[in-house]
Amino acid sequence: MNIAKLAFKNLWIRSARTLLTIVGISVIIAIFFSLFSFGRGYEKALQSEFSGFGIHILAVPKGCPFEATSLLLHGGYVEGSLSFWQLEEIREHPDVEIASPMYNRHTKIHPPGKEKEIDTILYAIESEIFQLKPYWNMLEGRSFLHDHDHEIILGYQLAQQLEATIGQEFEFVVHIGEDTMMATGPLVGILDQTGTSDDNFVFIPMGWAYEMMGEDDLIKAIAIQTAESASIGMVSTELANVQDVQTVTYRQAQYTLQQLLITTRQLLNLALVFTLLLGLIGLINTMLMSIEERKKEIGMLKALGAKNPQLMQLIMIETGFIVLIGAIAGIVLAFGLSATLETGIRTLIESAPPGRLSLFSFPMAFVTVAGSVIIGAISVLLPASGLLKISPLEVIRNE
Amino acid sequence: MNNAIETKPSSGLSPMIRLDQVSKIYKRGTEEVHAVENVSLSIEPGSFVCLLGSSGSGKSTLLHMIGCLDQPSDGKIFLDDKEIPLQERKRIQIRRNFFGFIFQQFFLIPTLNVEENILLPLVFMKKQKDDQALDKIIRLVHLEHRKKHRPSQLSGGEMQRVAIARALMNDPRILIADEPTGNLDSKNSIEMFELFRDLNEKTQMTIICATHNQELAKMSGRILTIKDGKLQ
Repeated sequence: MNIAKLAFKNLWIRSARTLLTIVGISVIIAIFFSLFSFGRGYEKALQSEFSGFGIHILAVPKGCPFEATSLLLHGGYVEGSLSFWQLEEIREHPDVEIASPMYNRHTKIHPPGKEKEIDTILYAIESEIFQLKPYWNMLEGRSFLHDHDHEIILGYQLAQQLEATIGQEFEFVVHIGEDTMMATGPLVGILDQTGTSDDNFVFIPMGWAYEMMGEDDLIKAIAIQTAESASIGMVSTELANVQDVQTVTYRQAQYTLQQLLITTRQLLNLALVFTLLLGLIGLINTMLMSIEERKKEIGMLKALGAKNPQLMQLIMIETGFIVLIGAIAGIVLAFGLSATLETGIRTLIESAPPGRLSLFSFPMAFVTVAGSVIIGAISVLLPASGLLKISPLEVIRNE
Repeated sequence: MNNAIETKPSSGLSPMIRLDQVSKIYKRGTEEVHAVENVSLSIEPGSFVCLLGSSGSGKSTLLHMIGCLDQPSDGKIFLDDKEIPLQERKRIQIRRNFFGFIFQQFFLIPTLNVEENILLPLVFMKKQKDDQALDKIIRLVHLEHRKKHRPSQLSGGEMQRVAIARALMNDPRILIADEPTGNLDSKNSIEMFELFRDLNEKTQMTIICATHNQELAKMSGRILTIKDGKLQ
């Protein structure tokens, strides 16, 4: 028999309260850890999306250039469009190495005759896009040979979802206003995994898109690579003079999104502080509630010769154990719920970057658990010291 | 000369407890309640003394002051001819080293079995478990067959015997029993006092017991009757 064993026996006798306190702590820790992991994961996903980017400037229709950039990166419909004369004007700029038009629309794709169809984004591209996205590699098959061929390339994840094989025919549907357009083409290539939104898209040559949809409202953005990376800023400023064109450099987009992320993170931090505060209040409340119940027990232990430091040790072991188990359960819960959380976030934030949004780290998990135990110990100090002031006589007299 | 007693018991057996004009006054609002008034008495080592009195007579208050659980408002209490100091820290030390306590309520920990409940004081005294001493005490209170039982599996008499065994585990020189039969039927009450008498005879342990039951008090070696806070 020792104080630790006595502490565990005490917890056992109040098993319902112990369990409820553990559950309460685990939920708070799960929220805390999920929010923290999400903050880190989102930032890393954003950084990885921008790294290795071959597009220096994106020319988009007038409006919010950053929203347009974000939508083009992650999929989504962009209001407004650019014209071919604007494309030509941009291409004529002496410092523009590549200017590749991009078109995107929501589509539904499925193998002909099969009911399984997937909602995705249709991208019309020109072959130069491979230079602008150097991380694009063909996993199977090949890229487009001619700009007007009726052929399809699928992103890695979409191909997996469709269980696609090279040569297989696919049918996709695009709604433009009142019109519904349906087209069929063979799958000629599957992109290797990029870890970006491109993994979920379907790509067709730009020429085929012209044939289907005409030239109006076709170009949603123009991806530009400059000859010299040093001239990106200057070129961007000059291209912004093209009528009805707005430009955004990838650095500006990255900076803006990071600023947005910082704001989000500050909000998250606030939420974290409130979460911790709530947890702390809950724990103190539980301890205060149990004090009245434990007066008799503590008084009796004092009559048996227990000293205050020993009783404090007893209370600390009990609290430490509850918080430790609660924190570990919270971390496990956060792991378990991360997929659900990601789905929720992607539903709420359309332009969320691809890849894992929750980035778990074992050192952080350790810090969370250790920090919880320390905070738990501090939070019971006050109620515990009040409890320890009780005299054994008080208990005996009350009987 | 410092006449405060040492916090460790001495080996001598000469006059163990002496009360000199001890009073205890409680304040109840503006009213003063004289729970114990000018009590002077001596208790010899190895004696079995009963404080007999009705409810509210002051016997428990007197017992608590002797056992260092409470302080007198006036007067002095001597243990081994040395005055019990007022400092709480020293009083705790004396309490731990000299006294074993039994109360009307058994105060057993429900999740601990009989053996673990008996050993509880050792946890706080940081003493190692002595199997021989434990077996001896368990035999003394006739709980050999109940060692691994939980308090909920015991009768009232058995629970009080566990409380007695627990009080004895620290090898006290004085056993303080405050209405130990208050929750027991008459058969168990008599058995309890027979146990005290047996314990007193076998171990020469000083036992001071508060009771309102005259018949039980007669089983002790000496009766001190207390009424309205005064010794009769």
